Amino acid sequence: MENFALLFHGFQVVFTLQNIGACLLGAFLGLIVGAMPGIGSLAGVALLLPLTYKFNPTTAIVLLGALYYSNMYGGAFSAILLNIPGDSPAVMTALDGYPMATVKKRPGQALFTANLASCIGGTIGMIILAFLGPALADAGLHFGPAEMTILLLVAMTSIGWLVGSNPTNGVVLTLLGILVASIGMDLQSGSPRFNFGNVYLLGGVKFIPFVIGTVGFAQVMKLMDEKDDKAKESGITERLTIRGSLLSLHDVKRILPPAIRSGILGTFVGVLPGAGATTGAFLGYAVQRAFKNEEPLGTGAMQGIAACEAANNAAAAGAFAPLLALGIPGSGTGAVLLGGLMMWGLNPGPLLFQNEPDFAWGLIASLFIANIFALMIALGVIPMLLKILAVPVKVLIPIITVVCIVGSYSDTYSFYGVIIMLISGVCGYLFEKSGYSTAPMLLSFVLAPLLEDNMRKAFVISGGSTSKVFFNSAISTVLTIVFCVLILTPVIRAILKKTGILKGKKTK
Amino acid sequence: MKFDDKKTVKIPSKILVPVVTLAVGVLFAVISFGQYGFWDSTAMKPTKGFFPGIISVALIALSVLAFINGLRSPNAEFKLINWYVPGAVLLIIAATYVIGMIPSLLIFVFLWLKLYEKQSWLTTLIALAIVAFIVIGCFRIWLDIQFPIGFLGELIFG
Repeated sequence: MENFALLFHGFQVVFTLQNIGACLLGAFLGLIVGAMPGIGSLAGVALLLPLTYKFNPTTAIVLLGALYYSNMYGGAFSAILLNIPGDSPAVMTALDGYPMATVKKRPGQALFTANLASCIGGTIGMIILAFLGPALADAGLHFGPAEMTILLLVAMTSIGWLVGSNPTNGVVLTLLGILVASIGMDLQSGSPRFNFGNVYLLGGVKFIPFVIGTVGFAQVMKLMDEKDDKAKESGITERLTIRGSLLSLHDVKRILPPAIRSGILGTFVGVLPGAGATTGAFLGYAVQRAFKNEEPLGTGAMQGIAACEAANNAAAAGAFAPLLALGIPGSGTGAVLLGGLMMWGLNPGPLLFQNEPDFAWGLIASLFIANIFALMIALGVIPMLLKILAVPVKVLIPIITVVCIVGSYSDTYSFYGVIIMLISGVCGYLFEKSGYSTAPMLLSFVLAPLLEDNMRKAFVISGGSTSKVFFNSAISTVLTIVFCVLILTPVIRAILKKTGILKGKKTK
Repeated sequence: MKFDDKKTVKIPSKILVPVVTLAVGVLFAVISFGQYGFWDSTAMKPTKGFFPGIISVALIALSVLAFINGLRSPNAEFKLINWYVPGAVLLIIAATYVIGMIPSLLIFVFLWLKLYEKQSWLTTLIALAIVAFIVIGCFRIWLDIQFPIGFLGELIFG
């Protein structure tokens, strides 16, 4: 009950005209950017980060939360109307969404099913988050510097392993991100480090230009490949209207059970680092196969759309639990959000719920409100969706380039920000083209100061003994074993495959 | 002979990337261990080279592994067309010193859409209006960001 009281307090924090306005703005922009072809949630959140400059920290965080959350709605639109998933979790939505829109000629209802299921799944995720977050934070209070060090290593390694096609490449960029973050000042001694005599580098590599470049600008460079592709024609012949999109009571009854089931499942998947919304959507759909469906899955079944959409939005909400309680994001988008929160003075971690309840509960409450706003806006934009999705990529390229330049300039008030954006953008593009996913680098860039601080403290406490750090307590021993398993599993699997003991594709 | 900016060039970036990360690892390791030190045995605490030193050693080791993996992978294909955008950003930076940032950005959007992409006047003007709203409306007026006005702006406005 105490959590509900605290959540109620969070709503009191959020219910000011400015915060509601920021939440509405975040929900609107997040949804439109999420729906835009070729941008995606990661680049969308990164590009919109500078908008938070105008606000006080609480409002800025409300805006960020709304941006992040409503982005999750947008990916389904192009999956349903064009059979092109806007982001990776929407891959499963396309399986039933597109046939329902084209074969069954119910595009509006397919969109509304996705939106309603997203709202239900997200709400379930947020209710669980309101309990799980503080519980995780309580558990986190037992974590000393040694335990936090190993936990952060586990989080970074697992995302390095899980994101992208090659685990080694993921960890290489994780380590590179840590080294880039170590440029600037050593926070413990207050002396310069790796600034190479450059006065700008004394302040370190700035987060906003770095993230805008790595994801936003790299995406623009990638879009140049697609700019002359003929825009895919929508197979929709019906006029999309709000009235025509509303669901019957029978439809609502059909989607409720899968949405609730996937909402619960997705939330717990979202808590796991590296798993996130995509795994949630895949699992939600897979579980739905085990249940009786009115229409077979894959032929335009509403339950199929509801299962994966509810799961991916619940996972997005569930990912907030480790992010807020332990300061560990579960994905690249989570890392950008964490960086944005830290920029505004919020220090996610076990003490967050105790020391900064206004921030923590305000953010959770704002997610509930953003969820409702996103549902209303998603319903409202249905008549305009085909036009939004038809915006040619070649027109988007110069517009996003301008946003990248002004966004990075406004962070530093100098070309230093633009140069960082340009270099990190070009590097991000080269990495992605070479099979190196940049999401682990973003995550490690954000978490590196926390890891270094805890690691140095842990070694001071242990007097330099490595075993006293890694086997300091039961928690650190278990985490060390998990860390070793994470590191060794792909190596052993590769060796077994090579020797023919394990059958399967050879690792690249 | 017609210039083809969509022609692909195969570059062994899958082995070049680990070579670069290896070089970064070596550079950071040399500075960490050589200049900053690893462990202060008097105060019994790590120095500022401790953490980046460990990370750079791990980066060196994994870069070697990634390099070996890269030898077996096909080369990535690159097109000249992808490099137009970074080139445009450099030109915008140069133009900003002369005519200021806001005019440079608006001219860039106009030239890109009208001359390079050969879009209609309507599309170009709509895109210009969106960019003007973002740059002038959101960033200059709402967020109060002072963009550079350039050499000419300094001459005219003092």
